[in-house]
Amino acid sequence: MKIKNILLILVRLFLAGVFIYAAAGKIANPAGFANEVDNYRMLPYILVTLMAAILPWVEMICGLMLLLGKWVRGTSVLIIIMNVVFIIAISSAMARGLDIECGCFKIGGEGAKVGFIRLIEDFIFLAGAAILYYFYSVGQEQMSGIDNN
Amino acid sequence: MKKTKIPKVLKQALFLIILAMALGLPANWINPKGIPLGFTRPTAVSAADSLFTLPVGDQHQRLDKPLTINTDQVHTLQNAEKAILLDARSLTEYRSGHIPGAVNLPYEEIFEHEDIYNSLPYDKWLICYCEGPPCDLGELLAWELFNMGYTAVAIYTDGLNEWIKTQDVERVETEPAHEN
Repeated sequence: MKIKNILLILVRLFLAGVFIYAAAGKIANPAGFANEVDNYRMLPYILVTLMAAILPWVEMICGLMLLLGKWVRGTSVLIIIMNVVFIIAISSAMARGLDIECGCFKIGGEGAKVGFIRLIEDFIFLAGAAILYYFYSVGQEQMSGIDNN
Repeated sequence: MKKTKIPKVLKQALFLIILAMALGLPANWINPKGIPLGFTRPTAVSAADSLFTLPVGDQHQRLDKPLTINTDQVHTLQNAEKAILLDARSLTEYRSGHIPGAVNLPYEEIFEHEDIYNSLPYDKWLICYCEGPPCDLGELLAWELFNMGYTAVAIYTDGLNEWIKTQDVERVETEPAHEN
């Protein structure tokens, strides 16, 4: 197996782990996650509640799909969209001087606050998803051993 | 007429979102920590006076959201030493006048005051307030504490504006500058 393919598998599994871990805490506590989304003061309350109920499951499904290596391009697109939204939200909160929890991983009083580290994390996840999308799009025939779709 | 073909990637992404909705909405509904879907934030329920005659530990089991309380109830709890008042405004506003005995815990800087919010007692009511409507910092602080695990949390919604109509406030004098 080529080194490139091994690296792609590592990127895929890394993102899978990140998104499954991020989703688990939010799925367990939608009310706590809603509170943290609401703290950004960017969305009307109905969208806050819908986001708290649905977004963690999008993350969980994306993580599982990457883990299984199925529909990698479609999953990558979703991860790219999510991370663009996260980057906008965190940047906006920082620009407004909000001292709030990120709502990224841990929920309920112990999570990390918004800040440059969270932004860098999201850019890394964004880059990982973009790499997956690119290589799984242009190199289908070379990667038959990695992606069956 | 030529049919527009949706790219396979978008079909996959859309399917995954629909799947997340199909799983997420019922899961949220059955989860005890689920969030009720709605256009407006759930309003806190007014506390009945009888609730405060019970030990706080008893109510601890029953409260499922912060309650709103009025000025008389704040007095009752303060006199019985069953409550800690938390001023959710900034330090500057707090210094200019606050309810006597209140502790300053600015909502906007809550995570800079971990020492305070981690040491709040579970056997006393935590009464959060700010100026009063339209200020909602007291309510936001109450929900934050409630979601951290403190369940005997109350919101003094009328706030300082109502308090000063009949009661005194406490002021913190700014320390004079040292003369060199």
